[in-house]
Amino acid sequence: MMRVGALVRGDDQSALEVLSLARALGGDAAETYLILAAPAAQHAAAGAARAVVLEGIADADPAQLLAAAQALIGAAPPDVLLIPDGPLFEAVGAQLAGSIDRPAARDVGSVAIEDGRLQIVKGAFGGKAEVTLDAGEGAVLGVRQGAHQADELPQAAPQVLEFAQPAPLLSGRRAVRDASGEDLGRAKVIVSGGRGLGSAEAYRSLREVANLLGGALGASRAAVDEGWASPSQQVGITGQKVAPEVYLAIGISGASQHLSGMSGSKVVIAVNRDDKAPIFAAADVGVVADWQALWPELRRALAGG
Amino acid sequence: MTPHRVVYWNIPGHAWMYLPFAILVIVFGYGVYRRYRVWSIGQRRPLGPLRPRLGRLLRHAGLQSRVVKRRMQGYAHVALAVAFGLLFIGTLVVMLNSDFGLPVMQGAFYLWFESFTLDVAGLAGIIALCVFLWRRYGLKPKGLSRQWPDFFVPFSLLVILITGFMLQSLRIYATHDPWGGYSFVGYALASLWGALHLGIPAALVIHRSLWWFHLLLAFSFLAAIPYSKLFHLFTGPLAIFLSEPTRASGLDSPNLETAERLGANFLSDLTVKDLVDLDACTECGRCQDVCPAFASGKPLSPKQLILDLREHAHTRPSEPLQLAIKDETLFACTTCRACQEACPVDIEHVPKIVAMRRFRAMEEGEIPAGLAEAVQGIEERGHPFRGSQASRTTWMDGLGIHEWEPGTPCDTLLWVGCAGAFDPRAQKAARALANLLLSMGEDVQVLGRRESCTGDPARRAGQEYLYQIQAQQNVELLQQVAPRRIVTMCPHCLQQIKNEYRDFGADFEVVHHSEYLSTALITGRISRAAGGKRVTYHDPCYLGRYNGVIDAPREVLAGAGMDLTEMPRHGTDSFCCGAGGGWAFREEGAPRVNRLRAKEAVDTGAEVVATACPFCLNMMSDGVRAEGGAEVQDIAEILWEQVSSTLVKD
Amino acid sequence: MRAIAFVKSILDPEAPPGAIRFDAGKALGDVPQVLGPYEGNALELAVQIAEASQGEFRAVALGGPEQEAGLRKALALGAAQAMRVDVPSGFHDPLDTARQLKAAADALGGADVYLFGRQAGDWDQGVTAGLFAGLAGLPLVPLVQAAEVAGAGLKVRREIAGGYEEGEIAVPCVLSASNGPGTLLRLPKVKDVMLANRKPIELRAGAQSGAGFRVSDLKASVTSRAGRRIEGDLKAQAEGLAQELRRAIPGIGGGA
Repeated sequence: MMRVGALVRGDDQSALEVLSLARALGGDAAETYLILAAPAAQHAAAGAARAVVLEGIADADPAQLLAAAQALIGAAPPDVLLIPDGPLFEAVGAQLAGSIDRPAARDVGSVAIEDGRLQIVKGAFGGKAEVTLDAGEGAVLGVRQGAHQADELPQAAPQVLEFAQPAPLLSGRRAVRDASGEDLGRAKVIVSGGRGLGSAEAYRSLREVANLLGGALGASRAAVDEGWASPSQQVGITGQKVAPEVYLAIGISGASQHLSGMSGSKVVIAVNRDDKAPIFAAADVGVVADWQALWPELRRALAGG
Repeated sequence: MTPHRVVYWNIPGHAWMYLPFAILVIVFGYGVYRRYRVWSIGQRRPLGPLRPRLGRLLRHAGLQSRVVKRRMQGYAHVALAVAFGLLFIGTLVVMLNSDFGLPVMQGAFYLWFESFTLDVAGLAGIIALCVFLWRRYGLKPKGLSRQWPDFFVPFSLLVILITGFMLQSLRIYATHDPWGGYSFVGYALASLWGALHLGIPAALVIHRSLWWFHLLLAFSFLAAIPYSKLFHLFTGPLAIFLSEPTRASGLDSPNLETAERLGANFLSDLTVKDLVDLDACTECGRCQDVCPAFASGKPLSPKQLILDLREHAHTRPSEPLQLAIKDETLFACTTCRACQEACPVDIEHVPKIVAMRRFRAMEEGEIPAGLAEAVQGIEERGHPFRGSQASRTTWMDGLGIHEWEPGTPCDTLLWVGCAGAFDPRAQKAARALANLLLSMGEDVQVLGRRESCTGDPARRAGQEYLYQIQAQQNVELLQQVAPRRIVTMCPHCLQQIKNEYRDFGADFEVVHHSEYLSTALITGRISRAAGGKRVTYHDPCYLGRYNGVIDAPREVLAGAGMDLTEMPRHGTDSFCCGAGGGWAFREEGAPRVNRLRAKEAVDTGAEVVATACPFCLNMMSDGVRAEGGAEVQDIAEILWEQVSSTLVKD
Repeated sequence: MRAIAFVKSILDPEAPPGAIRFDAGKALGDVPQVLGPYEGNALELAVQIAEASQGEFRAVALGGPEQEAGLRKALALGAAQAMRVDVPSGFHDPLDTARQLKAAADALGGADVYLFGRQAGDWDQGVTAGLFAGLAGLPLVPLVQAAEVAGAGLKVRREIAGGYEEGEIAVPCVLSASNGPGTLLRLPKVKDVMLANRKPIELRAGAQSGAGFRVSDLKASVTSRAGRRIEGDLKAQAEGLAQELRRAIPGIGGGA
């Protein structure tokens, strides 16, 4: 029998999904670990068995998260440890796996145990493909957000462990919020620009569009590399995965890793001058046009309404 | 009595003039030596066949065919050159007569040449100089500077000519020269002295002092030649003689494995021709007037580039060229060669710029953003269009054109080029061209997946190493394909495969699609159409200036039934669209070159702007749209539209 | 300071869709092998750290001969040594990869800074840096956007939600590099490229492990949508688009 565990932070949707998945795979024997921001009390709803409390972990410090995870797991780690893919997995997942000599995988969609062997399906080639892996007898897995249902979980107060919180990873640290101030995660409308815009000046014109539509300003990897946008604005597998009501992609050809990052959007509208751009295959509405020429007309049309 | 005049009349002790003459010879000789010393450190290149070089020398230096392209100052220059040529011969005649004792200064020759003709020459010279001074200081054109040597040179020439006439008139006046009327200017002035009642003794004194003044001024002037832009008297013809007569490439293909330095960062890395060019510049500013980079406010003036290099060569010849030429200047050039086309003494600006770019790109890894990505794209993917979602064969989906397979023969090979394959706008032009070729029943094939960038953007960016790799691979592949002829859609590909690949063993029959289509129209393999719109045609630099293909695209437009209106600048005088030299891949600040050219096109009132290059097609499309103008199409698209609509009607 | 950059060459991630086929657990296609973009970021950081500390860096890759593209680039950028751990091309178990890279790094005498790309764009595993750090017991700085030498350690900038965090870290440590203006890979100088082509790439025999992850299936993922196009001239397109936006986002325009 494979021992299944789950490590989550807080009780957001992705944490509940992973806890539910752990119970589905390991039944009541699933070992659940919770990392909490103080105060701890109201987080009992997550139904985790053990918890530690970290003070002031708003910025998700990797060293403190790793120490907390190691304290929770103790000397006998479960065979399969599930972690929501995202900042927590980024900070501790693989390193924890290495320290307990387990393989690791992330962007995992489905997990199954067949004949005592772990079978996982994950994305590959920038979202162009899906790979099914025979993951052997144990692994640390980053579970893709939204891939599993969050079930009703039993209510039980977790056992809060004594924990000596170590120093943060970086000394003399200073957190800086991006000048862009975009909160893509919560935005209802996202206007994103890519290399097809051709210039920083053209990218800046999107700011006005975002303001008009009451949305946030996103970017493709190319636009970030060009320095037109800041890294926190990047949408994609390795940037932010977003799920707004409306995603307006302008001058983005649609590299698969970008498409994966925005695939959760409700309505996707694409503007690109290349009528063969793959973005159109991922869009609900497509406009084949040069943005610089279209924009003055669009501004007029929006104002005229 | 035989008509004559007494040589050195009223000048006792004239033999003293050999003292300043000796000084003149020494100063002149030293000046030439100083210049020569700089030239001699340049790289030597074989001259090749002399005939084309001599032909060009005759046209450009002898007949000054480029100088007279600007009518007023051009003919003034010819007048001045001929005048001083004649006056120089006149002086030699005096020398023959007095120093060699040959009695040539007499009779009809004396009257008609030595007197009459030289007076005409002197008068023409004065008029020409007045034109020059009036243009520089009255009209104040932007291309001309107004510093003291700019004034001093024509002014002293003017003084030399005027004092010459004064001397002549005083002699006629004092000697009552019976043949004075042949020297009509001097004669007229002499009668003025008469009217002023100038005393003979006074006239003699004035004559004598003026003679020495005239002589010393003329000698000083001659001595100053190698130290001023007047040196173009010698360096101009030399630069013309040394210039690339076929214009095939203009760029050399150095062996990079053995090169001591990649590209040029010292005078000694440039060629002898490059260094002679620096001393041949007359600062006429014609290159600057036609330069798209200068016109769009970029930090490049081809004239200033040459002057800065000249200054560098004369003041700090062993220092790196980077001190003289900044990167922004170097990479501003579109390599359109308008400057070289305009230069009366065939200065070659572009090879110098590319040589210095080579140093920056290869030794220092400095290539401007955008262009660097394009170059990297060529290296990694075989094409410069980063981010393109097309494959090499997307454009030809459903056309029924064949991809060449190894081991099969090939008659006509259509070399599509990266733009035709990857750029959405150019793909349409490629499809139109393929349709035209297929409609002719041609056995036309493409290389498809096997095609790779010719390397032109890399070469123009200075990344010669990557270029040479691409060139060698392509030449090898084409030799294997061995097509009967190659048709290119892109003038840059044409320039490479036809001309620049010769250094890598290529010898193919290559034509641009405009040439191929115009021949097909003439031979009737494509039927002519009628009832087209008003069109203006933008000459791509690499087609017109580089390859001399001017008429063919116009014949294609005529064959398509279009009604052609020319822009003010066309043919070899065409103005760049702004894409050359790697600018197609760079972000350009305002004002953009393509807008300037687009405005010119829109102002013709044409309904369609035609061109014959995928890069021009894109640049002109963007520009014309911004100027609120017409449709921009490739000549192949226009012809195909016209021909296929005729087919439907039939 | 001594740095080791772990580089990986992958099938061109910018290849158009359909250019790569997935068949029998393998990715195939007439697509060039290029240095993975994030591995390029790691390489750039290695160059910067070696330059700033007047130290040196080495480059290590694991895989078949296709990996030499990235290693050559590293040599052209001044790598003191390049090593390929020779294992068959294709998928490789991430834990085993980390183990073998660790052994290779030890064989090279170790380093002060170990640099990885955050995620290789072929199998998108994104775990090698972490596994390596875990095995080696070294601290890991995830998603580094910039790094500079500060005394005996490094001053790094790492990506966090909505911005970045800066601070110092002692060496030895492991960095996973992300993209940004500070990590954009520079162009090698051609002279160095020419010299690099003559330098050797050391081969290290890969261990046969057999354990760990195995590919049991690989298939192209299906993208859905493909909706309608708004046709017509610019004006018509703009009108159509405005209408579409108004329907999707209530209350836009009019300064709302």
